[in-house]
Amino acid sequence: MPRTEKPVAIVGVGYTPLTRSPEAAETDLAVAACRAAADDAGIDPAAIDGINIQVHHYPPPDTGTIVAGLGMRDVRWSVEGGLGVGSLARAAQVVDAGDCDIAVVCKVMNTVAPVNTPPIDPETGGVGGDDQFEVPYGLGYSMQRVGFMKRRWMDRFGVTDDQVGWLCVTERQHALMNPNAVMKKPLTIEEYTASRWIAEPVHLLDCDYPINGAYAYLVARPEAADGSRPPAVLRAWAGPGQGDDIPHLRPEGGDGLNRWGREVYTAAGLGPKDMDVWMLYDGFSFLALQWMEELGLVPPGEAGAYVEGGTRIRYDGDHPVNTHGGQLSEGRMHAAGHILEAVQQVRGTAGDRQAARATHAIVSSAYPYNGAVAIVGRGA
Amino acid sequence: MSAQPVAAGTTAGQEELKRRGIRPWPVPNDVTAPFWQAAADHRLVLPRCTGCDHWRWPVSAPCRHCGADPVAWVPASGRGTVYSFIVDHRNLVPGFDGTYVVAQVVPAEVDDDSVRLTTNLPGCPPGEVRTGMPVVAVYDSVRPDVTLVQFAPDHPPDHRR
Repeated sequence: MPRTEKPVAIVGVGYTPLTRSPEAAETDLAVAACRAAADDAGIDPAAIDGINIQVHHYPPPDTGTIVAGLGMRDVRWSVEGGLGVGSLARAAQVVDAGDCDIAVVCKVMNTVAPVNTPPIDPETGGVGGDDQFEVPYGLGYSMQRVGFMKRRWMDRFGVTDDQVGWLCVTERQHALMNPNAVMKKPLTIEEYTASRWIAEPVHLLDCDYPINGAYAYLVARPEAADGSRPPAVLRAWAGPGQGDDIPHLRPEGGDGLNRWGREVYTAAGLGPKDMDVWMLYDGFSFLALQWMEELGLVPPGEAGAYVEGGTRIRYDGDHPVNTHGGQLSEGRMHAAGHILEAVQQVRGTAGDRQAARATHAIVSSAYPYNGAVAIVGRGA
Repeated sequence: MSAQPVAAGTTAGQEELKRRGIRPWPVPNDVTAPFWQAAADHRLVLPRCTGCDHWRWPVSAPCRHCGADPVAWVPASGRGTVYSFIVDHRNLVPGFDGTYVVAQVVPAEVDDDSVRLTTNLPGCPPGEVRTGMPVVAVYDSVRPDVTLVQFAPDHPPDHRR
């Protein structure tokens, strides 16, 4: 079953500031975020005995340096890599199995690391592998590939440019209430629709914002925390958590509640109507709308209409979406930002952007076909 | 020339190719060679699984249905429909400038959407591309040893003539 035997919670969350340029060493950022998460839980960082450092570039920062910086006495579990909600699930399984008692998961972002450029021979221009069927036609980047997905989905359901834009505009409103968000200026729907095309139908403002910084969270039994606030209990999870990055060659979905959604609700004994706040992956804007449909939160094809105008998905609306600003406006933290915000909402510590009703949060990462989803609920 | 060799898949490598005006081109391997040989002969072939007959795309991975490795390339009509498309404005890939179309075409022989061939839809302005429009394969010799498969609008026969 994709849930723990006994309750496991996210007992602490930690942030460094997010910056447009690198301003500190990756190891220093990681230590700062992990220490902040321990402090948030009221736990001595030396008591952390499991660690998962995640980066999306090579070489990764040295975990040993981070372990030393935290003063960890024992390292009973240590892995590098992973992403988003899938990693949250792995950490919870490890704690539930007793392999370690307090695991810290930390995402470190560095914009200096090379972006994913297509593997073209710099001397000859030759391209091998599966890329040989795409790069010679001028296709080599994620922001192009997702354009195929966005076009199919918009054409199939009659979704308008404006409707997608309302997600971006609303996330920006949330970012202005989040001191850690990198975007500091309001965004209008007119500015969204006028923003330049990257790969039409993908605007610049459909793409998340690259930043530097580290976010961390502690996974443990609820009683490990100091009890100063309700724990955010992981009710269930589902999904592979991203095995490939070729969404433009995979089945397009769009038929409503998908396999991961069915699995996570069944495991949690809950349904889409029980999900109060929605933290949905938005590495590209429209993915959050597709996740809404694939998780049965809205009927197939109706996410565009649901977000139009922004009032339903605002922090004070029916179902607040990405109240931290999402990756579009808080910054690209590969779903770590979504996980931390789900925790803040269910325990009632989201400050100005706190939702009125946040007993259960649903949080997703990566693409709907291969990502992962979890339900986090307020504990006693 | 740069003093240091630049690695494949890096920004520096892309910039170097852009500066030299080189467009990327396909380097066939043992699996893909029959596709490019057929293209040189102005024929389209599609990859089918030798284990279970399902279409295979992308071709490098083992079959998603049966796990078999080898593919067989089978002749196709060259007809298909546009599955989806983008109009690129960012021009990150070396050798591509301005506003250009990249479309995915599902060949007529493929009854699901599993095979999606890439094309620039030569002869079709960006404003005239539509999802579902019929296309037919054309062949573009971009280098002495490389012929790309492209797809162009397949206009319905003119019955008035």
